[in-house]
Amino acid sequence: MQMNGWKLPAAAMIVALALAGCGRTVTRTDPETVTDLSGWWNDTDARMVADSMVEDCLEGSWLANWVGASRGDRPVIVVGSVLNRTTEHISTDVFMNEIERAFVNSDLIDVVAARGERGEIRGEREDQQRFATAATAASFGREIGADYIMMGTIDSIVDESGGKRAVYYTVTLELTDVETIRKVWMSNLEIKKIVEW
Amino acid sequence: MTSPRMAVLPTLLLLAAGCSMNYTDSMRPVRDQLASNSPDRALAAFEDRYPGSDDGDRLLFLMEKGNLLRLSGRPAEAIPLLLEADRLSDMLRGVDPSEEVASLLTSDLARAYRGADYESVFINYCLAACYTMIGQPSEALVECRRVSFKLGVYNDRYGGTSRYSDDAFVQYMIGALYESVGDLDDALIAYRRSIEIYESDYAGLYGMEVPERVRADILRVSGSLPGLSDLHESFLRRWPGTAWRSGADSLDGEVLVVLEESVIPARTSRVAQTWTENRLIRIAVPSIQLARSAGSPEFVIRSGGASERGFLAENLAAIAAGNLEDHAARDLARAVARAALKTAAAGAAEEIVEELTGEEESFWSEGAGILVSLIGAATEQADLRAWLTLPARIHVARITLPQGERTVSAELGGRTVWTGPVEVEAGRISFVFARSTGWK
Repeated sequence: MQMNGWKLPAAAMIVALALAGCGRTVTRTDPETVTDLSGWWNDTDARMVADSMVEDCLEGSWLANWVGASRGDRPVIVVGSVLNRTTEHISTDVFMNEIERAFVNSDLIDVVAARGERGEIRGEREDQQRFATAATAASFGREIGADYIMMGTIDSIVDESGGKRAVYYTVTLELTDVETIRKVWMSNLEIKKIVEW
Repeated sequence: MTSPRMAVLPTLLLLAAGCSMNYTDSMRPVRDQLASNSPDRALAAFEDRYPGSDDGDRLLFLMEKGNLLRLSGRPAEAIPLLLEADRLSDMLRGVDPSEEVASLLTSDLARAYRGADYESVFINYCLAACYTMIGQPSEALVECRRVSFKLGVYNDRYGGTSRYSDDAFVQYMIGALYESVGDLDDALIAYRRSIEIYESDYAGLYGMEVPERVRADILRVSGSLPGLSDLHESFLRRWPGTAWRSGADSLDGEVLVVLEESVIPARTSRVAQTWTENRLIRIAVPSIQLARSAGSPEFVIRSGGASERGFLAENLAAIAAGNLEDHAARDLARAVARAALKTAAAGAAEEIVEELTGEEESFWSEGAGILVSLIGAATEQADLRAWLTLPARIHVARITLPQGERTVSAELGGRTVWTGPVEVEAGRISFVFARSTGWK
């Protein structure tokens, strides 16, 4: 019969299509793995940009000048705000944490808590005055003032035509002397992503 | 020849098809509550009807529920849903072969809902409104930039072939949001784009008046920006009759009221069918019936002794109808192709039975052909899916008031539709998002 020629594959296809919709798998992945699901800014971009720009920052002449001027053992940096000017809701907190991590891991810089974190720390210190033993309670007035503040912006330009989209990110960071407001280091890093459908 | 017994079957099958509930019908309780300005009850009715969705209608589910949460005064809960809707709308592109085959064998309902262009833009408008309501202007501006990007893509894509290629109201809101954070350069760009669309598109396509208020805002902002005196002079020459005021007094602030009126008209099904040569051929396409307009009601906001007239900023009902008309030829072509395929399938069924039984034009072979034809006709349904909790029209008004808490009321067609306290901050814009029932 002619029908037998197509009936079996057709039935198999229907069963396969039905089964394709079933089940869900979850796979644990190394956080270092590059995952670009949508083409928008993601954790990989934040980590990569932070590592690269902090490395560039630590190679800047400002650090050598600091050591030469004997202003202290190591410069103290506070990571300030990073302004998001893109078409995405980027968590700038994640990016700022990545920068802090890269600075701390360099072992060349001291990093102090950013403005948003200080309230909680100071609250803890106040609590210790009431509830901790005098020998272990943290003292007031011993915070380290930052020598430099790092601030920046993330901009993006999106271009799309047909089934192709190009997203062009520019991350600009600058390091400013808190005392003199002199900008001692500036840099930008560009990332271009192409998404095709 | 067809026996009388066979004629009973088509009637039964079509009755069954006619009884199945379409999206417009299933959303009726939700829209009834919304039309009577009870968004909380509308949300409850929606949650009762649609507890969740992970199928091809997920985008629709997210848009409807996100919007209902926003209208119910729960913007923080609306944001995650609307963000997912925006992401999903961005990812639903290209052609899914299995969906296309299924839609040719049944109806367009087999395809995942991708949303109209204006719906995609209104996801971002709703998000910007939510972020503004919870006091996160920088996140609202992200939505403004997303809208600008989307509208730019539509402009490039259609190049005048689609009525909806930019949005005057959304551009105006972008301008106001930029102005609220002191970014006057970007505010001016958006206001200028807004007036261009009101003049070039909205006046002709939707019969809307070009709002003088937008011109006044352009004159005010261009007049306050340094280095733009030539541009400001050119606007003054272009609109000599427009009354405008220079920047607000340092102790004054502004209140901008966005009034969403009524609900967008739902889609209805237009069906054509014919019985010929033992085949039932049925074609169904969506359409929107616009209510006859009785003109635009006057929108006024008042506070103390001060009052300001607003303007009709968006006619979403007309935009939705126009958008559907723009795609009517495509919808009809797909329906015709589907009808041809279903007719061919009925012929094939008849031939297969003839081969199996060894008899030509027998009761069984003709019956098989008719049965397949009837199934094809019964599965033919117009795609009535659309974002049905959007308003039919949007009005905007803004008023300058001294700083402090002020009681502001909004009137539409002489009827007070919203009253409430608004905290007016010096040099800032306070946004109020209100809803009203339809105006007749």
